[in-house]
Amino acid sequence: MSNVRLLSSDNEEFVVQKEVAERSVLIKNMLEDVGETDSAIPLPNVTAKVLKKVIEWCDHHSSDPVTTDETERRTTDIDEWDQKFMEVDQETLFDIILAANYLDIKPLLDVGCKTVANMIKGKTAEEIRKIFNIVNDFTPEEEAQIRKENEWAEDR
Amino acid sequence: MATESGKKEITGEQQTSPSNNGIEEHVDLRIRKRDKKRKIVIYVEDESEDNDEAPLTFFTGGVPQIKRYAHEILDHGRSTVEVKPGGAILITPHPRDLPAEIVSMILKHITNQPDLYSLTLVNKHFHSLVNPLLWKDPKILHRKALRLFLSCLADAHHPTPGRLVEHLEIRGDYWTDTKLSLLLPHIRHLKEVLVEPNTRITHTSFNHVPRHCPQLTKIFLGDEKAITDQTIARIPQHCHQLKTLRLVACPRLSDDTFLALGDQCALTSFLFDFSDASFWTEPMIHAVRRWSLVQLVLNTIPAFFAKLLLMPLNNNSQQLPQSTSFAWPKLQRLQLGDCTEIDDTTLVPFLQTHPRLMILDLRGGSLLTDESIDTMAASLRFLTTLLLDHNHFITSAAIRRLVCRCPRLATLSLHECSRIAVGDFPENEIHTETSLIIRAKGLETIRRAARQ
Repeated sequence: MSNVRLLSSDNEEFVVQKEVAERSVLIKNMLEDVGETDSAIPLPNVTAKVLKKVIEWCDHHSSDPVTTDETERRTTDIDEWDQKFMEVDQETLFDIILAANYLDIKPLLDVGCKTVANMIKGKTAEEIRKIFNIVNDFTPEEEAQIRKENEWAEDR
Repeated sequence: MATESGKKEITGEQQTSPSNNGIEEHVDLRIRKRDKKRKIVIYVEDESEDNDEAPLTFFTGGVPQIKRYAHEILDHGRSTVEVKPGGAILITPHPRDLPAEIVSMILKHITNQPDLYSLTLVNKHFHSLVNPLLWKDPKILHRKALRLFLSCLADAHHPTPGRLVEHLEIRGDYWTDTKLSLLLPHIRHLKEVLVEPNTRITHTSFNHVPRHCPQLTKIFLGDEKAITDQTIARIPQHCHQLKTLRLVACPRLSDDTFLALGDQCALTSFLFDFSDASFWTEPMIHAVRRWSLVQLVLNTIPAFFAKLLLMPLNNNSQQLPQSTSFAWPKLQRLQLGDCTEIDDTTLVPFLQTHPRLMILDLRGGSLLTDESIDTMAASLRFLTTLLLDHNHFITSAAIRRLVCRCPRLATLSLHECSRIAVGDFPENEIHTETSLIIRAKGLETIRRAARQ
């Protein structure tokens, strides 16, 4: 089994089995374009800390069948290993999602998105703003208008 | 990658302050040189916490490294960091901005209505993403919700959010003719409507649904009160895109009404759960034959009409030039409930000419024998579901042959078939006295046993 060298944005090198690295469609395509290469593949959008996590995930899932069925991927629950894997601080979680998006690892991106979705469930608007660190840009009048418009949906 | 021992400590401490606070908050890291070994002490000034007692310390080579630390501590390079001449560092945390496409992906996993409600109030961007999702399929769960829903639509500024409604389920006795009439003018883009049996809606209001909602593709009427011949007659006048019509209860319809359904709509699914042998007339059966159906559910069809519906037409039937020799080449689901007089001579040629059938439901009994079962085995490669309850002339030997030849079969139901005993299928993992339904696992065991 041949190895691939990956270089994080902060210049840390990781040596990974080709099969593991190819969970990333970006890397897979790169390897197909470049062919056999000795030089490390630079990943300027991923720090070593995050790349390490992503590689850990790819390694665990290296023998998973590739699911192309969108709905099947969307509806399946997060398995136990992935749940544990995603027990990280929120900042790292968001970085993993961004890295999965950049590296084009759809199943990891799905798990990340589902994890964030689970964080949103049962929360108020204010609590959701905190999660995403976003500012309420409604005027009080606009907010009251939406509250009134959607009040029918409020009850749990 | 910095490796000083103090780094982890700082990252840990910092977790609680800048990243969790709002965008406006600034964190002031004040740095002063303690000694010539360039040991630097950082004070985190955060009014909410008393950090001055234990300043974090680390060694550094200079301003660039301090900057890098600060970046790593905070937002992985996306915060702005200024190093002031006096040694103070001003860090402004960057707002956590996942790209819009990822936010959309996350929101796809949220389906619970109160969660969607909260999301519409987060900010303008979230509102624009989530409000259409909330209104697309509004679940009106109680009387008060319906009242709020209607009053909101009455007061709404233009454009009304009612234009977003695509799917509506009408259930509960708080739905009346008045309420439906108030709602209809607002929901012109409705695509799917379902009326459950327990409402107080009658045909007086429902008759106007097709006119107000011409984009309907799916109608499910579970309440006989909501239907008259006129109700059905208005559907093809307005709803030319109708694909699915399901009638749980239905009064007698005129031939003209029934024929118009096929001529003016694009019906692919006709589900008629109603059991009334006297409903059918010969022109109706010929009409159904001409529709391009993918799904067909009919119950209690007398033998004469069943033959007319399923048998290939003879060449001498010149009065019906549009009819093809076999009815629905794309048919995937056929349910003939309680059609007790159907026999092999009717069904065998039908099965041979409809190879795409996936779901075949012949519960309620028939005169079918193993000849039909063997034809299914030979013709229906895509069969996934076969329901044969109360069929008294089929045997377990033929069923076993079928299981082996239909590799996709995942559900097989054989309740109360008098020639098949529960004990005939020991492979079935769920044993009860009378119930005989075999799922994918049991079916696979049967196939494996047959191969050995």
